[in-house]
Amino acid sequence: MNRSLQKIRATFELELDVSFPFPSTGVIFLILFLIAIGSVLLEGCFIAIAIAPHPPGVIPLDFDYIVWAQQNADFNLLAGPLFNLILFIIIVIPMLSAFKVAGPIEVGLLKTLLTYPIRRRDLLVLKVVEMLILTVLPITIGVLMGVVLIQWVSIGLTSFVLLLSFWVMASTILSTSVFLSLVTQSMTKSAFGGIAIWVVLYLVAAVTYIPNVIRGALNPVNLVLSYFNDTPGAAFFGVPFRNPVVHDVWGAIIINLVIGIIMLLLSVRQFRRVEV
Amino acid sequence: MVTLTRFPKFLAVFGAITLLLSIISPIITVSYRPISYLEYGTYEGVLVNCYDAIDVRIKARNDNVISAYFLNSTNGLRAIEEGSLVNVSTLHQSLNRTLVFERWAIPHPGWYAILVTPSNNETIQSISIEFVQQIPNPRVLLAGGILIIVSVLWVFWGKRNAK
Repeated sequence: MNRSLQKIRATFELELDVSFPFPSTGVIFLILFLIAIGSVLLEGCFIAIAIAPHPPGVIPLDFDYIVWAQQNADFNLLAGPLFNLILFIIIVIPMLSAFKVAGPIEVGLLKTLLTYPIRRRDLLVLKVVEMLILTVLPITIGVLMGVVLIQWVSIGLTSFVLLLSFWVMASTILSTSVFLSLVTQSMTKSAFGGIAIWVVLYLVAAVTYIPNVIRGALNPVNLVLSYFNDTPGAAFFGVPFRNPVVHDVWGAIIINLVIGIIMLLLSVRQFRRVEV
Repeated sequence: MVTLTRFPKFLAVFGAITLLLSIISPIITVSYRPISYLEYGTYEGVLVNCYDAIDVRIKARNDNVISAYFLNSTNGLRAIEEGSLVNVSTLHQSLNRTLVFERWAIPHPGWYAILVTPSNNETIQSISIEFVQQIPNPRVLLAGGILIIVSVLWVFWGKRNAK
């Protein structure tokens, strides 16, 4: 195996053992997996229908809705749980980041970890990758398993775009939380600060009358959901937003991703300056 | 090589949980619909995505006599559009019962409609439709089995290489 790959692997295993001693990794993974699969099960997979006599040629008011609901059921069965789980990751990721990044600085464990021949940049990037995989992968596996194996619906390109937006949003939340952990160097401040920032941004995206791209940059999952359902997604005091178009969706995902990358680079820079 | 020894254990636990899910998931999936004030000549029910035979339990609260129909989704939508079941064909029907408690087979996975209506000229105050898909869920069972087999093979492979 390549020497650099061996080094990365050794660093990864060391960091994994220090940050998540056995069996915490598996337990966190399985809990998040079960939460994700439970959210799919509770979503249900049926549509209420009613048939009543009516004059010939008159189509019942809810007929179009029933056809739409059935056609979009496959997508919404994946989109619904993912949309609900955004609030969950807004709470979990800042807390995990505070515990794994601000925590070692606060209690002095980072000093021990840095006695190993590991570059600070590598250590931080590995921590970020671990936390991202540990939170988003079980949720992705859970919802996909719930949708494909339990509810027996098919997934396609739309599901891929939705999952991409979920991963991008989660990584941006994570890099923001890591940056906050490094700036505050306090578990309490970074955890509650990270949660507060993203809850405010979530609400801003949901209830304020702002362009779709900005709304999507704050919450790309919501915009992707609105785009594929061909609905405005939200309304501002009864006035619905314009239905998003494809440029809004990709623009929002790219802006969100760029914000995440910038925050990660700032975090690496900040981590080099941290005194242990 | 800590990660490599952890992984098969994790896979085994993951597989065991998946096996449990194959039994639990059909039970806890939302599959209940209460209906209130169903008038004679009208039908209410659900469009449900089925992958296998479906166990249905339909009962009125005051033991009213009811009829239940099982249609494919095309016929179900046609029935809604036309406002009656005159021009549609049903897959199964249970007529004039106080309790419908049956397993309905399906020709292929997809969407199906379950409809219920009063058999006599009366308004039924409350009916419940419960539908449970087959236990265990075969796909989840298979996935759990594969995970456990992979974890066992992984352990044997690791021991063989260690020798």
